[in-house]
Amino acid sequence: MTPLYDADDFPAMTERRTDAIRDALLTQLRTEKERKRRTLRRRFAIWGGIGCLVVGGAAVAGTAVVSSRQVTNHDSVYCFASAERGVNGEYDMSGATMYNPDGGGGRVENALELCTTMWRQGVFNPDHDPLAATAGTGTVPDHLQVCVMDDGAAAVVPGRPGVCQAVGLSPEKTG
Amino acid sequence: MGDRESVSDSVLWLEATSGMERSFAALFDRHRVRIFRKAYAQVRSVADAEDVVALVFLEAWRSRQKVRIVDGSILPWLLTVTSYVILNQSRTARRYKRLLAAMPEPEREPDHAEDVLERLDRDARLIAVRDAMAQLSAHERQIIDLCIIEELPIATVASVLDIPLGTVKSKLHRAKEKMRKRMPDADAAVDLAGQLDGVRS
Repeated sequence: MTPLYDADDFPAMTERRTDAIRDALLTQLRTEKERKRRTLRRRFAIWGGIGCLVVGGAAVAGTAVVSSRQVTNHDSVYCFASAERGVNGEYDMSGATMYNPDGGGGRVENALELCTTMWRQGVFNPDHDPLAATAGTGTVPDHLQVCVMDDGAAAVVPGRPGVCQAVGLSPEKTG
Repeated sequence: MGDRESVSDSVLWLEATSGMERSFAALFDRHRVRIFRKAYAQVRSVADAEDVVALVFLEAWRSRQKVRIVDGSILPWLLTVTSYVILNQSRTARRYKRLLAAMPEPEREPDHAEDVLERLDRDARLIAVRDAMAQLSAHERQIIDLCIIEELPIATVASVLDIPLGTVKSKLHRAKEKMRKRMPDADAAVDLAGQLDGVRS
């Protein structure tokens, strides 16, 4: 196997460049191994992070779904006009309480009934006049859910079951 | 180092791909002269041929999953890569420009390249081969290069190119016919014609 070109009278590689090529190749081998290790570490970190986020997110979501609470504050009730928050995250709602002639303070035993009355009287109508002598008329939403605010008060939100979590509240624990 | 010399290419390559730099260096030192001479015969410049050597071994490392060891030797595969690198030298050099930039500038001291070039140009056999091969397709040129120039057995060429033996034979036959037609009718071509007939099977 001695081709025409493979002759000893051919010029040879210069020693300096031969050494440089060998060094460069070995450096390439070394850096590639290191790069591969780094990539592996980074990939592990990224996927580990994603895994933690997924698990954490699922845990938070699960907690939000599961953590229903009891209404502990009966002094007032919040009737939501809609299940959407404003641009600053504020709720679109009206607060209400009932006068208790015996105790002197307010006590709401049936939040759902109170808010239904408010809807029926047109309190949430855009043209509602709070100073009007007579109550107006309004349409009660088909579905109203009782949720619990941070202070333990009941909040009645128009929407189907699950709307409490959607607006960041706990659903009411019944029974 | 003496121990390294008796170790086969396949063992060295296995060690090199497992992370042993010493084995890769041993392979480099074992085959660099042959690769250099093959490259020099084509590019006719010591510095360019040295670059080709660097690129061939770098390509070998980069494509280490595709390297084919035939009969315990990596040389046939390296020779194949050498042809590719020479053919696409500018493209390959672009890919590895960082490595090439890390190497020292070619020495300006006078080398005897010109003498060799003259000798090469006088060598009618090489000229005849080169001219005739220029007319072939890339694949045919590859097969002629390995079978005629490198004088590798057809079975080895089939293995290293990963194509059936029959395909190598038929392509070689067609390429030989083309080359015969294009070779000048001169004494210089007689040796090549003899080579074309004497391919090892």
